Amino acid sequence: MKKRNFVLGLLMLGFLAAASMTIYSCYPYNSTNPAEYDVVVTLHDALSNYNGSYKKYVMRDSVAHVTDGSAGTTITRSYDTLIRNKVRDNLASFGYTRVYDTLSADVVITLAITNSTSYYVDNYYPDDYWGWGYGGGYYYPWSSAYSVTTGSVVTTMTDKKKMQPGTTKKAIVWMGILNGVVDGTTSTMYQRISAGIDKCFSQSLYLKAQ
Amino acid sequence: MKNIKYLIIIIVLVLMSSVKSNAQYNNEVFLSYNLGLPLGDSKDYVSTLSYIGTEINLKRFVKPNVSLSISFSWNVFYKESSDMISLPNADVSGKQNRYINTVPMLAGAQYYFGRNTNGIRPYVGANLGALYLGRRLQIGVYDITENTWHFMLQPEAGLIFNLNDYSDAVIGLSYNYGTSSTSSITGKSVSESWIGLKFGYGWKNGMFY
Repeated sequence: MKKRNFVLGLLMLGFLAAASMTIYSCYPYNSTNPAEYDVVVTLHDALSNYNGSYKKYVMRDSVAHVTDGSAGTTITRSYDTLIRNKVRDNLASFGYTRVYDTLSADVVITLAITNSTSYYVDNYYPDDYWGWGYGGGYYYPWSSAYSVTTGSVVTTMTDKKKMQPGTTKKAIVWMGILNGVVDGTTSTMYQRISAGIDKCFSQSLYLKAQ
Repeated sequence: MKNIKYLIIIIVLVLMSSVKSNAQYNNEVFLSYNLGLPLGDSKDYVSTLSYIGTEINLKRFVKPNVSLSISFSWNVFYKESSDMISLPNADVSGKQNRYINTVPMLAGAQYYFGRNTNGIRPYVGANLGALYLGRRLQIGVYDITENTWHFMLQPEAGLIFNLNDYSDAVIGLSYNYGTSSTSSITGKSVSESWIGLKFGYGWKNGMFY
């Protein structure tokens, strides 16, 4: 009886310990779909400063391209028109009127794309193991190198009245940033950029002109 | 993870040797499987049930109806989310993986109702000590982890089932509360709280010799 209880107890202990260790190792985050790494960040002024006070905007047709200068990080112009049109359409749906005379505008909209490549080296040090009959030992560590190119589409809204010519004082009242991994086909990039810009606005309803 | 594994193994060995060397005292070692239901700020961050958890608990019966205990437990709360995170001057959205890793290290006392030899015995108890907490947020290509220490309270109640002279089973319900601190992930002051439910097996002294 005592021996049976001992074996039962030992089995229970082993099961609980093994289950805990196994489950602890499970971090389920290994998606290979670039769209799942897209993040939308909107930065805003105090919400009480909006209240529909911005109604007219002026926007340049050009989209600024900013890279980190490393080889192979030039940015295609393929997405410029899409970005311009999506921002224009979202502003229109918020009740904004586009004007072409800066003097009559409340805000200035500027558009930019950035990208940057980061290189990583990961070193893996596996746990040592316990052998049966042959004694324990260690696995050799190994390394892997990889690079990730991330890009951002940045929409900036600047309050024209707060601008002070001749100074560097910032008058930015809103920024919408779509950040993600630069990967995938042109059509999926179109979808991601389109959805990302829409998201920038849909989570910024305080910008509405009415 | 490696350190936690060794820590648990060392604790198990130490507690087992304690059982053997203090056989004249009525000691008992419990291993439990723990579930956790988040509440309050914890629920705001991860709203789903934690079904990944365990506990090791050493009890010394100083009287037939009273025990003192030391326990180490662990529960991880996880949720995949697309909820927007609102910060003071920013909003962030995207697919996220949110984790709360809790490691309570507690000392406490329990009172048992009824006779101490047979059948089922209800018990109530109170524990306090330290909570080691890890919060982790994965969003986009970013991965933020913060580890903090908290003071912790844990009232509990449950049932002990006397299986035989050498072992018990236990079902316990506890309220777990860790004092607040400012989270670097959300920028807000958050406290941790959850309801714990454990299913355990206990080895009475005399079991391992």
